[in-house]
Amino acid sequence: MAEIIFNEVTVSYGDSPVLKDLTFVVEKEEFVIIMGPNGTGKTTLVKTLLGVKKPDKGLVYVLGCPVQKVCPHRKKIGYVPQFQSIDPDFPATLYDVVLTGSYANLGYVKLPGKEEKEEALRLIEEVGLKGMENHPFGRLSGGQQRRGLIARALMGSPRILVLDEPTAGVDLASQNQVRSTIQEIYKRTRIPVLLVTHDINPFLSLVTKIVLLGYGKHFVGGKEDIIREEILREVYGEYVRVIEVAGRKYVMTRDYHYA
Amino acid sequence: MLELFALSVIRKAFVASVLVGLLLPLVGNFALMTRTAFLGAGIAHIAFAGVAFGIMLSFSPLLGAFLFALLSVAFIWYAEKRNWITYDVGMSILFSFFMALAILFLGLTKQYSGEAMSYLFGSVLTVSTVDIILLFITVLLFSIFVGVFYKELFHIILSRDLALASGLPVDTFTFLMLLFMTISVVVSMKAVGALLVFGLLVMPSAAAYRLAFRFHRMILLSLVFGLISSIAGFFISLTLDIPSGAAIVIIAFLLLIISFIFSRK
Ligand SMILES: Nc1ncnc2c1ncn2[C@@H]1O[C@H](COP(=O)(O)OP(=O)(O)OP(=O)(O)O)[C@@H](O)[C@H]1O
Ligand SMILES: [Mg+2]
Repeated sequence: MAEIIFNEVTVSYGDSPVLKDLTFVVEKEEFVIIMGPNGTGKTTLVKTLLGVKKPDKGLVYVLGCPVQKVCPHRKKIGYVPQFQSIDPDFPATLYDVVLTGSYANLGYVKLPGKEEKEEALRLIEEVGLKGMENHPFGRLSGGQQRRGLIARALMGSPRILVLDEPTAGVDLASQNQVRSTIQEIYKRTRIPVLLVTHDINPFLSLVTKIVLLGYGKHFVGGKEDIIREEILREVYGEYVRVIEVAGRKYVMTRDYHYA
Repeated sequence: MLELFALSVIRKAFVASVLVGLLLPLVGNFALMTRTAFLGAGIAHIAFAGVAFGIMLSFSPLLGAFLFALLSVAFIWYAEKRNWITYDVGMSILFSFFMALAILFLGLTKQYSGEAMSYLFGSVLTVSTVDIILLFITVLLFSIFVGVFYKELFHIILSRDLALASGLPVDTFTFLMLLFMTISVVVSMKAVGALLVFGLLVMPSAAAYRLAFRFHRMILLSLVFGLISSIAGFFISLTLDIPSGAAIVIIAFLLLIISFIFSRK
């Protein structure tokens, strides 16, 4: 069975459906990009996958279990939420935040032990934040916070990694670090990755599938199917271009001054 | 002054002050971090309307306070959950409506009610054994709650989103925290007064927030500040013969100023 199955899933807020009859599967070792303009339901898709938002219709299976049931497998999803600003004075260190990644697996009452604590420190090192474990989390830069949350998501060796716009609002150099952290994790663990991003070009070589969400329509397919001007223009409008340089495709917007 | 402790009324007042000095700051940490602190002020005034209601109809003012406060908070929690109103707006509306009711009830009661005033301004010397037992039980239950569910509470405070995604029943925890806040405010009213409960709820944890870089340290510091405020306030009120609720809140305020000065944040 596939790792993730969305079967004709419709999700709405109030009366207006955000996702309508969405169907896709994610197999082992897939790297899936979820893209689309603002407000087309990317975060909603992620929340439905996590079991936080209930679909009105359709079925969602994660690791063989329907998400609306209490599934032990839900704890096996590493999740990096879309950016939320955190008070710089918030009383928690990077280490405290990363350690919360073990809470779901620990369940009630049980406290993190030596194993979880060592894992937290190892993951902090893995995402390139060694030595910063005692920094107040709110004082880290946006990019460092994102990498901290990636370390948090990796606690307890998840079987799926879901990231909601991890590079949004991060400066160029930090974007690079966040990207390479994600790429390295994928190459090392080969767990399926679902990445919500507008920043697709750097990931195109890894991508196995794309879910492209538009207003009232969506497209699912491999990158040959989706990274095409006629498809992208249906969602983003006529200024989108796909260019090929040295055998690699890039998605660009045509500057309309020259149009 | 210590010879006053031979009097049971003074001993009771002291015990009540210490319990309130622990309870309100402990609850305050969670109120502050979930941005529901203003609810504390509202609850106290709604509860005061319950007190006035009880006095008007000659039944237990404390019962009236519980009734009004719990019903209002349950309503606000539900309304917020259903996205009808935010906590702030909901509480602002109920706050003023119930103050109007309180004034109405007091007006209808005709005779001057010293008892109502003792709930409004606090009167630690009128605290009964029952009040102390209620306070003690609340402190005990809330401490156990925080101790047992510290991990989960921290997770929710850090991020509702992450807590939800990890499968926590966030709404239930939010409700329990509000419930404890409501009960704590009501059982503390007699000792510090409806008008001043808010001060002891917010100031020690706000001071601790300025100084602590980790949440468990913030909690410990807020308890230290709460205890200093209530014990020092109690002795100052005895010595200078001033109302103890006022003394306690003024000390808490001074500690807050000091923590701002020494803050490395
Ligand atoms: N809690 C909510 N209540 C009501 N409507 C909501 C809620 N959350 C999202 N929506 C609506 O659902 C639609 C999809 O939102 P969603 O956050 O999933 O979009 P998105 O693709 O993640 O957008 P962005 O690129 O801005 O992150 C939007 O129109 C939004 O206004
Ligand atoms: Mg989003």
